[in-house]
Amino acid sequence: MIKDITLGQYFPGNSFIHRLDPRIKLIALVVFIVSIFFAEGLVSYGLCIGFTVAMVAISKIKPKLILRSLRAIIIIVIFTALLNMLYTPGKEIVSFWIFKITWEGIYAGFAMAVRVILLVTVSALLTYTTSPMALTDGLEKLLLPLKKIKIPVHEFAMMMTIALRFIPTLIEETDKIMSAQKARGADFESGNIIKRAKALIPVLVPLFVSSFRRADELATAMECRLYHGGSGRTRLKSLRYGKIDAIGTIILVLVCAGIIVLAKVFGL
Amino acid sequence: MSEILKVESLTHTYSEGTPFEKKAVDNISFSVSEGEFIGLIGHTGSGKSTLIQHLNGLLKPTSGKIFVGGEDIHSSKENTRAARFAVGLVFQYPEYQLFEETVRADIAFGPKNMGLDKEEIDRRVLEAAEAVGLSKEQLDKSPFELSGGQKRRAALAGVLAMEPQILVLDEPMAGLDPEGRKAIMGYVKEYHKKYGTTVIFVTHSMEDAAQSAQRLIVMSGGRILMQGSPEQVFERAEELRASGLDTPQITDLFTELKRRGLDVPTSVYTVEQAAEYLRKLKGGIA
Repeated sequence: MIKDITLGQYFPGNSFIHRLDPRIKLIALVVFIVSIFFAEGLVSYGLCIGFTVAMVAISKIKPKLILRSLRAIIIIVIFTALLNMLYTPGKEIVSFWIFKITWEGIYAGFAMAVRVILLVTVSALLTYTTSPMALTDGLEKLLLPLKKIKIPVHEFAMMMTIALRFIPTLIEETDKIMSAQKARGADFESGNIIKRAKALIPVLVPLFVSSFRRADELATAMECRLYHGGSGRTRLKSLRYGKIDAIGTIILVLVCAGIIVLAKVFGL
Repeated sequence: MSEILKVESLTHTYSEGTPFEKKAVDNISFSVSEGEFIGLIGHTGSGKSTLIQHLNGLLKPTSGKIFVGGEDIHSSKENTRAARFAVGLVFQYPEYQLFEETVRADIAFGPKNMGLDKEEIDRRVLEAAEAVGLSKEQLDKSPFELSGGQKRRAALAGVLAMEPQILVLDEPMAGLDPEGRKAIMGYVKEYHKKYGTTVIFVTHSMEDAAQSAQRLIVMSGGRILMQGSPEQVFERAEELRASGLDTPQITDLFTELKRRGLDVPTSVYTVEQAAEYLRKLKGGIA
C-alpha cells in the first residue's frame, strides 16, 4: 500500500546521535562528506568507513533500514563505479574494443562506490535520527545570516515544516480517496501508462480540493493564534548547545582532521 | 429469504510482522439475508470500517472467507470485480470523492466503470438522483457548488447508480445537521423499501441504528459482541455501556423507570414504542 513509502523517515530514539543538536548534525554532515572526498589511501578510507559504521551502531538504527535507503541508489553506484573503472588511465589489465581496464581504474571505481555509499548512509542517518521539526529548526537557525541579504529564511523553514507535517495526512487521504473510487469500480492497476495516468484524475481532483481547503483552514487557525511571521517569535523547544554537542564536535573534528592528515600528509 | 452475504471467520491484521501489528478484525462470522436492513454498531476503532472494506474486496482478509451471493469473492479476479459492483460501499464523508465537472457525470462514474451503455447509464443516473432528492437542475451543476448535505447525497447517488445488491453505508450521517441527518436516513429507508436492497448501516449511534435496523450487530475490539433484534440487543444495555456504547435515551429512561419500581420493559428503543407502553400502563391503572 501507499502507506509503506518511506520519505526520510524519522525513527524516535534516545541515543547519543539522536540527542545531538540538529545544527551540529547538519554541519557535521557537510564537514564529514567533504572529508570523505579528501580520502585517498586504504587507511583514510578505512577511517571513513569505521566512523560511519560506529555512528550507525551508536544510533541503534537497524542496519536493514540503512540498506533500504541504499537500495534506491544502487544503479548510480554501479554506474559511477563502472565509468571510473573504464576511464581511468594507468596500468592495463585487459582491453576490448575502445575500453581498457586498469588497476588504477578498479581502485578508483571501488573508491567512488564507497564514497557514494557513505554519503547516502550518513545522510540517511541524519533523517533517521532527527525529527523533521528539529531538522527545519536547525536549518532555519543555521541559515539565519542569509536574512541580511533579504532571503525570507523563517518563511522557507515554516513552509518546509508545514509540508513535512502534511505528508502523512496527504498519504492517508490519498489512500482513502483511492479506496472510495475503487469501490465505484475505478481501476488503477491495469492498462497502459496513459490509461493509468487518466485513472488518477478521480483521485487527484478531490485531493487538490481538500488540500486547498486544508490550507485555508490552517491559515485561519494560524491567524487566530496571532501568527505573524518570524520576528520576535520564541520557541517551545529552543535549541541549546550542551555537553554532548561539545563532545560530538570534538570527535568530529578529530576524525575529519585525521582523515585529511592521513590522506594529504601521509598519502595513506 | 436467501442468504446473500456470508462472512466466515474473518481476521484482518494490519502491518503484519512489524512492531505496528494490529488485529483490527478478529475471527468474525455472520451472514445476511436478502433484503435485510442491518445496523452494524461499534465505537471508533472497533473494527467496523475494516470489516466493511472486506465486503467488496477492497481489503484482503488475513484469514477467513467472504461469500457474496454464494461466491467466494477472492476465488478469482472476476469474482472480486463482481463483488465491487454487487456490494456498493459508501465511505465516511463520501462528498470528498466528488471530482467530475457536473453532478451528473460524477454519479455516472460508477456505472461507466461497469461498462454499461449510455442509455442505461442515463436511466440509472436519473433514478439515483431521484432516490436522493436531487433535482434535474442540480444534476448539471458542478458538485462543488452544492451545499454540504447535497454533496453527501450526490455522493450517495454515485453508489446507488451502480444498483448494488447490498448497500453498505459507513456513518452516512456523520457531520450533518439534524435536518440533513433526517433527510439521509429517510432516503436510505425509502430506497430500501422501494428496491428491497439489502442495507448494512454502520454507525456508532444506537439512536440511529434503533430507528431503522431490523437486526443489529454490535462490534467491540474487532469481535462481534452481540447480534439480534433491537429488542434483544437493547435488553443488554449494561453490557453495551460497558463496551463504551450508548443506549438510546428512551431505553435509558425506561431502565430508570423500572429501577424506580414501574413495571415497564427495558427493551424499548423508540419513542413510539415508549408512548404505547405508557398509554397501556395508564389504561391499566385507570
